[in-house]
Amino acid sequence: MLPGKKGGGFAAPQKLLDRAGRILRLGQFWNYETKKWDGVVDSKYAQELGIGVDAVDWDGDGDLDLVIGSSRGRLFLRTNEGTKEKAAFATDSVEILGGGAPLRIGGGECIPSVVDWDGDGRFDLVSGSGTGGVYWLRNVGRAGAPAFEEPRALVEPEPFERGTLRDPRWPGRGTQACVTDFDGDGDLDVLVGDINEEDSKSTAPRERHGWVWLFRHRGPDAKGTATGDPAGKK
Amino acid sequence: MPSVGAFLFGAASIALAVAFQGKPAATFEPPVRLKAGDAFIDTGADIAYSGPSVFDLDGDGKRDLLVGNFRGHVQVFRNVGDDAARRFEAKGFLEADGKVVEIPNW
Repeated sequence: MLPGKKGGGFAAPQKLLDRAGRILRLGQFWNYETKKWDGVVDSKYAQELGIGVDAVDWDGDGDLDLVIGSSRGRLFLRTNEGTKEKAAFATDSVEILGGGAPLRIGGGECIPSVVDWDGDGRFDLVSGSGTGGVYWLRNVGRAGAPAFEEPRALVEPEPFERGTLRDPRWPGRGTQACVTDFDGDGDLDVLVGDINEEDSKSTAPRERHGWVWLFRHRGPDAKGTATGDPAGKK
Repeated sequence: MPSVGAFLFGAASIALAVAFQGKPAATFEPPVRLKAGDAFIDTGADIAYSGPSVFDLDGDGKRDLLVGNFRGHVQVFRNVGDDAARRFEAKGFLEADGKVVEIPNW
């Protein structure tokens, strides 16, 4: 977390800790200070890498909880058992289910963001994917007890025309989505970041690009608010 | 209203509908890559995996663009247009307390 400073700017990054004082992590992670993998033995989800996070008041108790996405495409909740002013995160994560079964982003590499995509007053989840595309998980639950449908594609991973590395027409893989009213017309657009690499078996450095794409919303189907957007609700 | 296509590459007018069980989940204009000045925004030099976000970083009332990359840095693109017709200017990496921010990736 980068704490904001009065008058603008940020203070140095801080590690988020759980209420037991441990680094908040999903499963194993590369500890840059000890230079080894931590969490391999003592984590309930040791084989998962937590690669993305967003904050939302999941349970309606007035503080921000964390939604974590994993390298394998799974989703987890880390509940804030403290207060809005003084967070105290639970010591373990809980997998987010849909209809009793784990929710998974096809292609893995779930990086969730919280947004009310359909404008029904309930926060939904949106995520990119390791194999490209952007997915929407619609919240059909109620306040304080969200429940999500299976992911459905907002941006297809395999378009009609992808183009080439140097003349692309569609995002590549490793997508990350930011939902926002980019053009100020009152509806939600989607920014998509990605990675595109030269297809080569050579060990020589490959040409690589990471673009940012704008999917400007056109239809009447998204009227929500981007709660992940600092200008929005959160 | 100024056209987004004025500062973006190749805006077209054909809508794309993404169908799910017969009902579109979203309808978008064909995608365009964002630019800063005349250059496409590209995190390839930092192993890519662009992670975009919008935030009024400089407090001028207009939302800027921040793009994370695989090395754990965040590239800053100041919005020198307005929120209806954004134009971006590359401003280097995000800093905190005078140091370039680096968030380890795993």
